[in-house]
Amino acid sequence: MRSTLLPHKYKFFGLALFLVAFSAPIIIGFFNAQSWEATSSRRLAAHAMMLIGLFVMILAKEKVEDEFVDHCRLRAFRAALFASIIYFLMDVLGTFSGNLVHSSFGLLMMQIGIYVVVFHIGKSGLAHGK
Amino acid sequence: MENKLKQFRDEQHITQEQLATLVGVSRQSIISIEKSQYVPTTILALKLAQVLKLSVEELFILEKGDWK
Repeated sequence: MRSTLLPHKYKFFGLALFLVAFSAPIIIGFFNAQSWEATSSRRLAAHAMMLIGLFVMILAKEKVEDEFVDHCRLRAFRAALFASIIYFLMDVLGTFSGNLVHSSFGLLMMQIGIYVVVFHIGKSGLAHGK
Repeated sequence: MENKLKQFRDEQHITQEQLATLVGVSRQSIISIEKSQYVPTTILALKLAQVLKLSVEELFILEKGDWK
C-alpha cells in the first residue's frame, strides 16, 4: 500500500488545488454571479478540480508512514464505504430525495469527506476502540 | 489487551519520541499503543520488546475478553 502512495508534499498540492477550486466559484460568483452560474462547463471543471485535489490529498503519504497510519486509513476507507452503502440503501428506500446519489460528484464528495474526517480523527487519537 | 509500555518506558527513562524513533514509527503510534487504542502487529510488538530489553509477554498481557 505504502509504495503506491504519492510523496507527502502532494498533500499540500492536493489541498491547494481543492481550496482554489472550492473558492473560485465563490469569488467569481461574488463579482459576476450570472456568468458563473450560466456556464456549466466551468462548474464541471471546478468540481473535477475539487475531486482531483481531494483524491491527491488522500493518496499522499503522511509525514511518518507506519502501520498505525495504515490502520487509520483502513478504518477511514471502511467508514466511507459503509456510509455510501447506507446512503444508497436509504435513497433506494425513498428516505432521501435521490439528488445526491444521482449526482456522482455529490456521492464522491461525501465519500472522500467521510474518509478525510475519519482518518484524521483516528490519527489524532480522538477515536477510541481497537 | 493490556500493555505495560508506558510503565517500562518510564522506568528506562525513554521518551515517546525516542522510542518512536528507535522502532521506526510515529509518536502518535506510541501514544495510541500506550492508551490501548491500537494493538500493534507482531513485528512492532517484537521491536518494542527488543528495544526495551523485555519479552513480548512482559510487555503485552492478554485479558479475559481477548479469548472471546
